[in-house]
Parts: sequence; structure tokens; C-alpha cells
Amino acid sequence: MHPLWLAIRLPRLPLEVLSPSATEDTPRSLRAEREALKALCAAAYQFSSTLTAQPRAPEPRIHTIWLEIGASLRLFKGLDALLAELQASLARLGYSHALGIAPTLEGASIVADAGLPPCRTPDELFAALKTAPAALLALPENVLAALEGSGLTRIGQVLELPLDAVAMRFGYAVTDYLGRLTGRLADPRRWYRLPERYRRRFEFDGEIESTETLLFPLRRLLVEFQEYLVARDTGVQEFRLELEHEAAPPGMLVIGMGSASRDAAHFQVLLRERFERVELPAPVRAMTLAADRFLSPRVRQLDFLNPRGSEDEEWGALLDRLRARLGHETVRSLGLAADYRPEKSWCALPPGAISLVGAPHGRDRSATTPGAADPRRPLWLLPEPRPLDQMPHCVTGPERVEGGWWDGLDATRDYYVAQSGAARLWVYRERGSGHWFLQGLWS
Amino acid sequence: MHAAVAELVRNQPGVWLGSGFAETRTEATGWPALDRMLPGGGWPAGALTELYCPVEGIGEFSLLLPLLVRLTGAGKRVVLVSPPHLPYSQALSERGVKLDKLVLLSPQSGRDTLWAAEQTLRCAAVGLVVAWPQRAHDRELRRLQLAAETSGAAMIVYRPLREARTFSPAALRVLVRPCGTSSLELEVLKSRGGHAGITKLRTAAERA
Repeated sequence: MHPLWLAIRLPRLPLEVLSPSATEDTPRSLRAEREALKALCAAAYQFSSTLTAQPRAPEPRIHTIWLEIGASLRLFKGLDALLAELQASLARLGYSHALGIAPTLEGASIVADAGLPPCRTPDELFAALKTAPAALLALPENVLAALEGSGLTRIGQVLELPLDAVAMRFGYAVTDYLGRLTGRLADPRRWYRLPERYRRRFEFDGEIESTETLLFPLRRLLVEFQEYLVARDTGVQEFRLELEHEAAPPGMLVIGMGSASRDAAHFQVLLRERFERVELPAPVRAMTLAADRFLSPRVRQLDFLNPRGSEDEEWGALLDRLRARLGHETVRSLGLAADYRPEKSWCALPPGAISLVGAPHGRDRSATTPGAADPRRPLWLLPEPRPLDQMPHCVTGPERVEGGWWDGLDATRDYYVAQSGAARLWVYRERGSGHWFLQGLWS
Repeated sequence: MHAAVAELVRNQPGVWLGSGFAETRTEATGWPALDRMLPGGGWPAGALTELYCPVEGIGEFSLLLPLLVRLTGAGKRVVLVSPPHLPYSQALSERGVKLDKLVLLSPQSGRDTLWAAEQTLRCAAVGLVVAWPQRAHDRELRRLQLAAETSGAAMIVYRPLREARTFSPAALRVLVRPCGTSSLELEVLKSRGGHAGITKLRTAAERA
């Protein structure tokens, strides 16, 4: 079984990594090209773990990623299905590309450049190379010019030359290349490995003044991130965005989620909500999307049998969005706490959590929660009791509440229901001082 | 309607059978007197309800307690956005509200209050959203009404009394007044598919 190589040629990458306003004259940004290639490799990793973007000399004009797909064909149920998924993934990342398939790496590049149909066997490759233009060979300019000068315009003609004559005239580098092209020689490369941590930096041409403007380039970064997570078959519960400023120390936004996710659209919603609350201290020069810890998201399964599952998922996404915009502490559930003082008898919990009052002693709630057996409590509570200027008009009471001697905030209070106009108040008198306080409303 | 009459009406191209209103989805309020007064027998689901109250501490939130108990008991989430005071978890729990289904949002700004109400309302897991915005404009209320229509959940807004005279897209507007020391008087100002009216509820049991 011979290998099958897929070449992804990226002829416009140097231009596409620059801002939309860039022209052919704009200087290349090798750093941005490298970042984009890394992202593309991460995305391609979901189709094959044997892949490389490492070029051979001479320095190529066109960036290429090669994947060995022979081993993946069965997993993806055939070449057509694999290509369809790969194309979809590349389309999400938004770089223009040409694909070529052949039994050798260099062969696949030529098939891609010539726009030929896939060559699945060495014979098909030979047939294709026979008529392909010699100018497509990945050889130095001077060699290509010499070939053309000798009237060798087809690759087939070059391959027919005696190898020792080629070596004598053009050097061993050329015979080596031809050997790798035809599969006569092995073509070892340094294989790409998915990084353990995710870090993707993006530099702006100018300075970005508003968070609104950050969102557009972020979209691509988030899609790359999603492709990386899919390739690793994992997700994140937290990621961060580092912002570099010209005239201010770098800033960092941490986006946390209720459950692990790898959904770029969800990430973007969370970032947009967060941006609503963020003031940029200075214009942004560059940003980095980073994640260190990965967690497999609960895979959606049996949605159709379990509509509750998707409802819970929607609820989780809603909580993420609310927290991103309003802040963590403003989204909460209320729980019970075992304390006689009303202002300490409640606690804030993450939504959906249940307070475990009394659990440490293995007793049920009614045994340890003072309020459970007590007279009713009002629906509105003032967490900070409000001092009253005058004695209220008490209707019922008192109810003696004592507690707090264990934490120094000793409280002995007599609680009453008081009437003030039409409103009913929950008030108490402090035994020691005789002062009156308002603690609740019978709303 | 008699079958023959119905048949006759159906065959008349110029006659439209107005049955749409009768099928308004509602959530029983838990107060029989109030249910009898409201079209469909309860708070409108998938629509905006406004409650106006001149003073606090008269039992205005207890009005919703039966609904809170029923929805949280059925596993539906209930979200309270910017209540004027801290809901007392012990009191709610004693009266049967499932605390783990109740979520409290306390945004910093009025704008965020309405935003959060709309966001939560659009979530299928939510059965009821209650909000206390300091002020709300026509456009924002319309958004809430639309979000409620889309999701089918009930949206109840407590509004200051001074805004009772302004126009509102709400399906139901109710004025809540104290009546003696143990009852509430509810005046329906507007009721889509129903009619205005006044009813008294004895809320004393909820008020110590």
C-alpha cells in the first residue's frame, strides 16, 4: 500500500494575512504568515496526524501543507467525504487554496498547481507529469531557465533524461528532487505536532482604538481556535485574550464558561458581551488568544430522545453570556445558611447549586435551619439592617432571636411585625441598646 | 357552537371566526378570584404583564408566590432581575419555592436590567422572568413583549406608579393597591382579549 499525499497550496497567504487594505506592494509579514500556517496545520490535523508545512530548499514562493491521507480514507469513508470536510474547514478559516493529491509530496504540489484530478497510483502520477509544464517543478529559477533554454517544456521530457547527465549539469539537489517527485527516493520531513498549549498572536497594522474593531479579526482567530480544538478532540472551559498596547501595560481578559465548549460562535458572543464592559486604556497593537487547560466538552448525543439536554445546554450558554457582561458576582442563586441572625441565614450560590445546610452533621434541614420551625419570614430582606429613628407601630411579636456569640457579633434581638401605613415591616429591637432596626418587608 | 351553524359559518367567505383570543396560553395565578377575571384564566404566557404598586411591603410580591412555587416545582427556571431588596431565601424556601431553580440577577445599570431580562426570556429553559427596572421606555418594553412572544415564557415587570399612564405594549396591566391591612385590591387597567375590572384578594395568609 503506497502512501497518498494531499497538498494544500496557499498561493495568496502572504497577502491574506495582511489587513484587507493591503496591496501587492505591501511588505510581507513573515511572522503573520507563520502564525497563519500554524493555525492551518492545527486545523488540518483533524484529517491526518502525518502532516508537514516544512519546505525544502529553495525557499518556496508558495506555502504548502502536506498531509498523508491514505491512512485516513477509511475513517472518513472515502476520498470525496474527506475532501468535502477539509474544504469546509478551510473555507471557515478563509484562505484561498488549491488541493492536489498524489503518491508523493512533490507530486501532490504539482497536481495542485496544474489543477489536475487526484492521482491515486504512481502510474496515474507519471501519466499526469508527462504533459505537465516543466515550469511547475519546484527548482531554482536558473535551473528552470536552463531547462526551458534546452527546449524541455514538459516534465515528462525532464524525467526521460539520464540521471547522471542531470546531476552533472544541474547538481545532485536536482536529481534528489526528481527522485522524491517520482517516489524513487524517500522524502523525510519534520512532522508537525499539535502544541500542548494554545497561543495565537495577531498583530495589527495600525492601532485599534475600539473593542468593536477588535471583533472582526477576532472572528478568524476564534474559528482557528475552534479548528484546533476539534483537531485535538477537546474543548476549553476558560481562555484568555491578551491585549498589547503601545503606551500602557498589557491587559488580559479571561473568559470562563460553565461547561467546556469548542464553539467559535459561543466564544465570540462571550467576548462581545465582555467588551461591553471594557474600556481600552490605550489603542491596541496586538492581541493573543491563549488557552492552557483543556477539557472535553460533553458531546451532544441523543438530543432527539432527550430534549431536556438541549434546554440545559441553552441555559448554560445563557449563564455564560450573563456572566460575561454583568460580571460573575451578579449572577447567583440563593441558598440557606445555618445562622439565627437573618442577615447571615442566606448565602449566594452559583445558579443551580443547592446549599447543604446541616449536611456536615448528617441532620436534615429542619433540624439545623433555625427559620424552618419558626414563624414566617418576609419575602424581602435588608441584608444590612437599617436603623429606625422612632419606635415602630408593632402588631405582633416579639420573637426572641439570639446568636452570634460564637463569632463575636453577639446579637440578642426581639423581632416584631410592624405596620407603617399600608406597609408591613419586619423590625427588631436590640436588647442591649434598645435601638430599633428595619430588617425586612412583607411584600 | 352547534355543528350545523359552524358548518354554515365556515362556508361564508365574508365571516371570520374569532377563536384566537380564547386560546391565549396562560399560567394560573393561584388566586381563584384573579384567575376568573383574567382572559384564559391566568397570567398571560408568551406576553408582557405589568404590575404597578404605590408602596412596597403590601404583599405585592406575594402575589406571584403561587406561580413561583408551581414553576420551580415543575423544574422550570425563574429569574428575578434587579429586585428592590434581597429575596429572603428562607422565606421563599418555607413557602415551597425550589431555590435551585431560582436565579437572581443584579446588574449595575438600568440598561443592563432590561438587557438581562430580554436575554433570559429568550431561553427555553426559563418559565418566568420578573424584572424591576427603574424606568422602561416604550421601545424596550416592546422588545420584552416580542421576546416573550417568541419564547412563550411569562414576563412580569414591576413598574413605578407614575408610569401607569404612559402607553405600553403589555398584554396585561394591573394596579396593585392595599386594601385594609390584610387584602390587596387589583385593578386591571388593560387586558388584551379581556376587560378592565377590580378584584380583591385576601393575601393575609402570606403576611404574618
